[in-house]
Amino acid sequence: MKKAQLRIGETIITLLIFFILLGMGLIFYVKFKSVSLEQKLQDQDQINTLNIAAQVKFFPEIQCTFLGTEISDCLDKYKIIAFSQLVELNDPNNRLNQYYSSLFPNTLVTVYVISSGDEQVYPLFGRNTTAESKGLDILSIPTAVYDPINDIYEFGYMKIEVFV
Amino acid sequence: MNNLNKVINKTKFNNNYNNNFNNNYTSYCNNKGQVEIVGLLVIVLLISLMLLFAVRVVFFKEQTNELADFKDNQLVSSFTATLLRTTAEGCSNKQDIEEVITLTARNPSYICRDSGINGIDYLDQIISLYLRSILGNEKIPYQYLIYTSEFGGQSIIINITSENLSKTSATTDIFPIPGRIFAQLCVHGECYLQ
Repeated sequence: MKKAQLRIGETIITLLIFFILLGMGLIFYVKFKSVSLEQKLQDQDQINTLNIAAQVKFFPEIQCTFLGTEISDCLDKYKIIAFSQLVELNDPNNRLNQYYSSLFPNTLVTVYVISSGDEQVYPLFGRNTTAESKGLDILSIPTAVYDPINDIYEFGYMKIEVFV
Repeated sequence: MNNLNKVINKTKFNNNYNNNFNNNYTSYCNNKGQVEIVGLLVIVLLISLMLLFAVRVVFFKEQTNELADFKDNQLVSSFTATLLRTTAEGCSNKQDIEEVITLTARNPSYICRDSGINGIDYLDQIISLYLRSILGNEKIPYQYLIYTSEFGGQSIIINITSENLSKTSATTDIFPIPGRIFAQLCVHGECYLQ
């Protein structure tokens, strides 16, 4: 084999190794970027869920009040029942549901009250879009539910489901 | 004759020069090969280190999710706060669960006024129901402890544990109740008494 041919072979192998290394570097970079991007999206979804939870928890529509003063971490049972009846979750043309769904898109908010061993479910607003969504972020916040007629506090929790 | 001598000398000089050059060139080539091998080794070493670092960072990165921890913390801290405020239906409609816990801690044979159930049994049933309802659906493992803490150590009053509870680190919150009583909920792992 001539010297020039050897040189050409050497150059080809060098280039080959260079491109293999470049390709590996690119693969690592893309993988690293996609992982961090996924993490960022996930964080954003969770921040969104926490924001919704913070807002819904202090909804004046359902919060307990005493002489016009709001009581923290407490929901009024009869306000919840009335709200749930007004919004009518299953009716897509219900204007209230449309209004709240526009404020909190892709969100389903439900209040569960555990009373005398039974679990009562009060859907507040939103739309179940499980079939259309890629994932679901759930946040459950325990909260006391006050029954002003019987003057008792029941154990309840607010479940916020955000479809992403 | 002079010319002939000159030619002979020149030829000798050329032969010597060629021999010297060949020797020097071979030695130079050998040295160059060694230097190249060392260079290649350094490059291979650097690339291996880079690859190792990249693999460690990309694939074996420790997943820390502060937001998920925050969500768990919210759940854990709100649970006991809500529980203590809840009216003890099925025990006494005039008392809240905090009072039942305090009375049961003072006197383990405390009997509920309305139902006649033992205080510990009542607390065990009601707290298990709430925990199952809120955490069971999401299949989050948990442990719930209510204990009194005296100088001699802790005395456990209630210990509720879910299935599939692991010994991994838990998200926990200790809630003090008057009378040296503590309520502690741990999610995702076992509780450790301090």
